Amino acid sequence: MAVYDHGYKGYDGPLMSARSRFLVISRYGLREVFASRLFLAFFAFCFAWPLVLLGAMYLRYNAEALALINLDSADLLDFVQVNTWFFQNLFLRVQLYLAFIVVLVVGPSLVSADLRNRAMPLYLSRPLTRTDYVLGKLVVLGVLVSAITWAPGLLLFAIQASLGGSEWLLENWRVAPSMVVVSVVWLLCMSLPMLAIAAWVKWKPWARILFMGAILTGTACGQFYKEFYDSWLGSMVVAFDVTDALSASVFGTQGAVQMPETAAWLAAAALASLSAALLYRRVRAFEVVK
Amino acid sequence: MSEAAPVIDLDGLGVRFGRHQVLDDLRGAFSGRAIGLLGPNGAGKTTLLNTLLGFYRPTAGTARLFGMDITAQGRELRRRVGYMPERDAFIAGISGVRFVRLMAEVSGLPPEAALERAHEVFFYVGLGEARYRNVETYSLGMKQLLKLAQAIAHGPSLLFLDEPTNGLDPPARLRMLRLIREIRDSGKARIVVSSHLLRDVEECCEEVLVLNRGRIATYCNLTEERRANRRFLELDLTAEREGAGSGFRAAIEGLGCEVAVVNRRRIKAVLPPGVEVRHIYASAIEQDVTILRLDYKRTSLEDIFLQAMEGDDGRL
Repeated sequence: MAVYDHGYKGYDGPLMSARSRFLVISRYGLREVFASRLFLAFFAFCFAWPLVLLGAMYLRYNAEALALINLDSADLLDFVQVNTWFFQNLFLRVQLYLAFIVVLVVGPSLVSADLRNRAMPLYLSRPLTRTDYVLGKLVVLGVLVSAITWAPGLLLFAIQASLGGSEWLLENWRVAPSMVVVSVVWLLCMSLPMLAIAAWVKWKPWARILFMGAILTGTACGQFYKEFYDSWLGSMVVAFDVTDALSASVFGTQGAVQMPETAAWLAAAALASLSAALLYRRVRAFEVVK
Repeated sequence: MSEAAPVIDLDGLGVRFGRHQVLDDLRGAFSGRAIGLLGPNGAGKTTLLNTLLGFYRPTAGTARLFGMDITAQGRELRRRVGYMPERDAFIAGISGVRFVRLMAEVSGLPPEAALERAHEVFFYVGLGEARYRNVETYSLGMKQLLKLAQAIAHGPSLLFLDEPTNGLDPPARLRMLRLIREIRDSGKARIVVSSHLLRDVEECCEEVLVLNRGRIATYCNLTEERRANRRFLELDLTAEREGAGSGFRAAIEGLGCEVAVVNRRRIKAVLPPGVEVRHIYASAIEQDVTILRLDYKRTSLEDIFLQAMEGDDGRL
């Protein structure tokens, strides 16, 4: 319709698939996130450490480059052991801390403004369910977290596999799926509580403070319980203990935290389910006062 | 979706929140191009709209829009529905055109078509110049128009407008009502307007459903009512000669009119089909009677509404 024709017109054109409708929310969410230059700079910084590790891996197999910077390849071979520990602790642990900051910064802005400005009736009066809405928002965090955790991790893994040969690959094949599983579990355990808190308080700064508060309180209470009763049960409410135990379970290594694998998985599942239920309860068109 | 089916078909619809029965056994089929929902505050107008939109689940009965069940075919129905909520509702931090584009895309339009439609509807509602401004900077009147723009962006077949003139100054209110009438007259979308302002409903609706305490207090087809009103006349007369008045009454009775005498100078008449006002004037000339005043009966929506609100004891 030309702009001079101001009469009301219906729409008879093609429509997109209903199944992928939630991706519209994700696309707009991502665009809004990257509209902030500060966030963009931080996000770029998140790739610095993988680049450093990539450089170390490259140097390890390149004697000429080592000679240029007066380093002995034997020293570097001893210093940088590219194995499960390298990917689990040196790479993924650091990236998960950065991903935590990403979730803390981005998470609240995804839902709190929608709820504060009563946008839910607008979304839900369209062919979109509450699940689609939550999924759309989760995908935003999923893309951001994946981009700095398992995606560069797999890239490093592939490069190392090409440099280290089939022997190294056979020895460490478990690393690749483990990075993906730990990242995805971590994403659900951090993103869902963050979104749930943001949906309940509807104000970004408060949501961040409460989320940090919940983690610190859990850590303090858990540590106190562990010390006082000399029991691993306290670790159930310490987010980083649960992450460590889960990571050790998935990578098949010995974790620093003395906590049964099942307990760690149970704690993660309980946290994600409770958060999803709380979030789902809040994401609705109108509050019903009974 | 069957276009022949009623726009709204209420089939014993009931909604209960806890112990509070908000809607109770609503029944009826409504097919007008523009249907008004009237009622005092708390009558259940907004709850009815929200239930039809699938926000609340019926606790009894069901309802159908264009023949489609609101519970079983909710998702398919919402593709065809546009909704303008009563209170402020927007997505913060983005421009108006981007907001409307997002809403159109969520309704299923491809990105390019959604962008085109967003620009079109902005010009249509008269916000073209403000489309790149952040929605948070819009005035109350602009936000109302923005809500209308997002509701029509995807070209819905049914438009739910909840208190569309809330908070508007007189020129903005007239503009909003004009837009609603235009959409109605385009025939592209049926409209349901919920309002407590009788004048607004009277100006743009053809059918009116009056709710009171969660029940249907009355239903009125305004088009029929207006047509019927045109058949009721009230005449003030003065006779030029003795007996002219009774002669005139007999003459118009002879035309088939039902006549009631109010007093010596005033009569009421109901015109039968085929008899027009010019026939009354012709009889008056023949009988030497001067018609000082001829008025149509004016049963306003206010009369209908007040009558519906009356309790058994006649009190409001």
